[in-house]
Amino acid sequence: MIASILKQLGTLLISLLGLTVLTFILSQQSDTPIHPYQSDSAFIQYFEYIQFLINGDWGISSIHKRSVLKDFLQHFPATIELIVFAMILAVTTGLALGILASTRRGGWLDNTLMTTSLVGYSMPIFWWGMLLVLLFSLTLGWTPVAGRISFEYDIQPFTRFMLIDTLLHHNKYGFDAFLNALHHLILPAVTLSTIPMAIIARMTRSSLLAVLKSEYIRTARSKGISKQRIIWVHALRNALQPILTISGVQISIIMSGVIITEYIFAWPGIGKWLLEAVSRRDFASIQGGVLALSIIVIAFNLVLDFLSIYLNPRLRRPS
Amino acid sequence: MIKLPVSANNRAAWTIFRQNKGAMIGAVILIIILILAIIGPWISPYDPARQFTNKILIPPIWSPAGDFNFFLGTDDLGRDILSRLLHGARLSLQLTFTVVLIAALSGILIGAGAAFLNQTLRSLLMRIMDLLLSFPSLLLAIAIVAIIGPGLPNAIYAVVIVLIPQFVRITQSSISDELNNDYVMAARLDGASSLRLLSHHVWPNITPALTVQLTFSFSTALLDIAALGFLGLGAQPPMAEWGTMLSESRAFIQFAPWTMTLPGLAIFLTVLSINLVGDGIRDALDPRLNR
Amino acid sequence: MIKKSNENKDLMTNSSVYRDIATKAKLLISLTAFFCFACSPEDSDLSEQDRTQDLLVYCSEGSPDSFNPQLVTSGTSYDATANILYNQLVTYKPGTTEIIPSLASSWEISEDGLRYTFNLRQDVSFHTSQVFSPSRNLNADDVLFSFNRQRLSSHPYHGISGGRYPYFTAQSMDQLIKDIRKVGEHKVEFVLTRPESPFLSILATPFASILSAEYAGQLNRLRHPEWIDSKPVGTGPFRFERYEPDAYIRFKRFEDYFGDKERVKNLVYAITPDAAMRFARFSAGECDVMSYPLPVHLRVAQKNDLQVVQTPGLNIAYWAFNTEKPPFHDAKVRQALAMAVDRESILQTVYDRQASLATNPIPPSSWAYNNNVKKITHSKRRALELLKEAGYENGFSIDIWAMPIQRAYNPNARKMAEIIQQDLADINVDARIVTYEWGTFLSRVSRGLHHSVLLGWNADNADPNNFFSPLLSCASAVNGNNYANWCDNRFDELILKGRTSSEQSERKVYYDQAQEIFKQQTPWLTIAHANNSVLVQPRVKGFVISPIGNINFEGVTVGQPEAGQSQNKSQASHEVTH
Repeated sequence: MIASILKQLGTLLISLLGLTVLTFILSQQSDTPIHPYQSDSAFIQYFEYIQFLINGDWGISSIHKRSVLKDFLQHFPATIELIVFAMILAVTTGLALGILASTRRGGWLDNTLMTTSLVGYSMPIFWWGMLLVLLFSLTLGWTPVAGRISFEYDIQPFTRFMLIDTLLHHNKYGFDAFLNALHHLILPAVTLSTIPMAIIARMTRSSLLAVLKSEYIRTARSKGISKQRIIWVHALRNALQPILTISGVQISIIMSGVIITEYIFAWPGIGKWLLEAVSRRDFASIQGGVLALSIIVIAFNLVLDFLSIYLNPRLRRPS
Repeated sequence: MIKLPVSANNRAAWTIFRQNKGAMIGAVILIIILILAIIGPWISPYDPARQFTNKILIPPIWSPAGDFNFFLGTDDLGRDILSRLLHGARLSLQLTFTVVLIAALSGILIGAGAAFLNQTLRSLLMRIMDLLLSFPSLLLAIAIVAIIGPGLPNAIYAVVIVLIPQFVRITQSSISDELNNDYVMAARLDGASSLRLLSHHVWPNITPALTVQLTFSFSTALLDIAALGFLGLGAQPPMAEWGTMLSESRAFIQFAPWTMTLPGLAIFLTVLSINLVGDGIRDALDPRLNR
Repeated sequence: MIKKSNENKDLMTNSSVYRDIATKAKLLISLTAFFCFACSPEDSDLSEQDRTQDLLVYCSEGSPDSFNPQLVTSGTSYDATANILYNQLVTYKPGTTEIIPSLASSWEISEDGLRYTFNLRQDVSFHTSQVFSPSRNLNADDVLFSFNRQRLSSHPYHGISGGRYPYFTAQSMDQLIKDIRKVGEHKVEFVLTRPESPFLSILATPFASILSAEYAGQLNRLRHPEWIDSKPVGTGPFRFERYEPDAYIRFKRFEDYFGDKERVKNLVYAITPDAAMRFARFSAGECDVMSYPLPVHLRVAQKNDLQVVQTPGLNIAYWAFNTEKPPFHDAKVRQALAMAVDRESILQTVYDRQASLATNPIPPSSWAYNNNVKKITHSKRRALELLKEAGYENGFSIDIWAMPIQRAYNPNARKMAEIIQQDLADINVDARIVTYEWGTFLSRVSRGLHHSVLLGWNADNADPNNFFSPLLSCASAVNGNNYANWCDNRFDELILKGRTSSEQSERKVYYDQAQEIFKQQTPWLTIAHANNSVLVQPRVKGFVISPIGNINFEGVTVGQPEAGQSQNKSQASHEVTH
């Protein structure tokens, strides 16, 4: 186990090295240097760059003249809120569909669900998001087109998580603002959750089926334990392991997805901020955004790996 | 179209594949799309760049306002959408093939090389590949495009880099597994060279896994290229690339929805059919996973 | 809840639906909101009606680069500051190019045109913010502070926020203004180095906004001088409340404003860079005013009886030939190419007829416009003849650089380039379209790497000089926006005379001649003068758009949407969606 942990830490170091080299190259593209370097040699500048990063100086945006790190932190809660909401949607619905399909294995429900999940899995979400907007926002008028909340609610950003901030304004607007924010969240979250939901449903189904076939479940069945109890208590717990493993891939899908979703729905988060920085050649912001997002992905994977090691010491390598 | 490994198992695999209704439907759609992409330039009614300035935003012909000269309608410049979709099919598929081919070749080479590296180096390389694998493809593409500028070639590099690690991983782990097999050990003890080992013993046994990976790479590549085009980081207008067409159509989403639905549908159908075929191939080659 | 909103056909007051749900779901939700202490919805200090009635949402096209217009040159930043937070000494009468008093109630200009004396209003107060409460009204010190910060590198505030004043520098104001003197508590004198007839127009531009010297002093004591540009305090009709980058800007009505026009209580700029998204938000009723609609949006809006507020813009879209690069050193070639282009088709496809064909570099609404200049006629035959005369009957290859961004004067340069490309193919000229990201594009075009370029210009002030000097003078060919790199001494002399004479009739004579020379030489193909347009919801009253293009919400009010109106809206949106 210690060896595994050391290995993880080694990976972490390599990742951070590779990452900072990439972002250092990014920062070098800027017309005006984003940090006041002492040295002229790029090699030494790299170490100065690391020093600046550690000190929390991530540069100043060349367009807005604002601190990149601060900008990132201001945009980040919107992204997290969207991701968390979408993931809750994806996990609950995905698990439910997967379990449902596995219990009706081979039936029409199983087939329908699996076809639907394949459709969801193949969906180009930039098109899917536009279709949803066209149908639900523009034609039916059921959902808002863009933004996080209607402007008749003047919400002071305390946490920048709109759902929390609206609740903190409860004495001013009651639950209206909260519901309004929730209403704004629905369509982007559905768009973002589609692919993970399909993957989770498929994964759940296949790993449940594999577990259900296994020796110990058959023994349990022969002992007369009910099917429901087997699925919920025994099979699901074992099936969660591979689902957890695939979450590492999920985070990268979600991160790519959230950039597109924010673009489509004008959601004021990191993705939109980063794309805008790219189109305006604001390298300080690009560098900072890529760095911060990557650190999050790396950290997420690290936690996941530790979790896997903790849950299953025999697991040497994720499959 | 689907190259199955030449071995005795193939016939069995093909039988399983043929019984899979979804996979067969996918294969038929995919073949149609491929044919359209190949003959597209000859059957498309107009030059995809030709602008009929007095025929702007004509709806497809099933709409009452449709025009018989423009089967799927026109866009905001009066360009025939059918012609653009057909040319786009060729462009998108060509790009996808190129990307997957380059990624697969380099990935397999790196993976095969890695299998013969010493433990430390190999584990280092694999760690880097894992890292690239867990990295959001779009974020990587954005970083690359930011450094070398937007445009189709640069977007292609980005997608290639994103795809390579998958192939490295699969090749390396399958080769390592195979090399530890008894029959390979035996061949080795008989004095067979590494190259001979690879081509005669290992390669035939890893092709199934690679075939599956190859098919899924097609859908990933197609989606990623289109996504970059959509975000304005890949193919630039007036190129008839599907993702770029989609992004141009955003301005007309309310009053000319066909300019948006049709290119999207093309992307979706292609990806779906590739995935259906991929599922079919995987189930056929790995009967253990079969339902 | 979804059904409910559909039944009501009520897209604009969705909030009433939420209220309804809120009551129903209160029981359930209160359980989850245990951390919200002792507060009930009844405490709501605003009724539903108040909220929409006192709110105007403007869907803007981008985030401002700064809240101090002195530091920037982008129209987006000006729109969020110049007429909202600040005032200038003089201003334009809304919807016109006529100069009227603003912070200065009157002024005198000396005989020789070198001295401008302004009498300031005495009743102008500055905004109160969290860090600043003004103790005095506007006086001469504030004017001196605002200009000297930009003018004098020794000024304590000069280096704050980067120390670059792009507009001030580009207009060579440092060379023009010799001195600014405080003559009295409310009297300021500007001394110029040479007579400059557009000077009053220049003082009406955003960079001439007046900031508070007292606030600057206060910030110095707080050791946060940079807040002057990010936590703005001005004299304008609205005060700054909050800015969430890339999401929105919130303004509140400034109750002590010296002007007496009606204004809404809450003004929100909803930042929506994507034109398609902006229109979608507008048609869903999420914003009341939408900036920079695409031509196709205008067509749909007009069809559906939405308010389109439009005025001929003080702008020009042009195709500049780089006269330093052969074959464009030859005027005949330039004329030939100009004749080969079917501008009618551009007007149709690119502008959707929301523009007029341009003959001169200045628009017809300018008093200096020369009506006698012959219009450019589209003739392939004549173009071929001219090319033959110039010795290019076999054609040649060029590149056309198309600006990558959307501007009012050129909604789609790319599309324009594609049309020109086709027209040029007819006269054996092979054109390649080149485009880069905007910043790179401009820097490369400035270096003269292009053969020809599609660009445009939006005037900052109404004076004709604002077209001639920055775009076509010899000086601007060296260091400026003269992308044709065209330097004609006769022309240059004429526009200099036009700039320094004080009599308008005299200036007109010079400018008329200059336009004739421009026509003969054809350094550009003048393409179009686009209309400035904004989409406005029916409930908004009193919105006027300025020919200069800056947004102004003084005198704009909103009414409650009538029942019938939202009915109309949903029908309209049905019609457009087919």
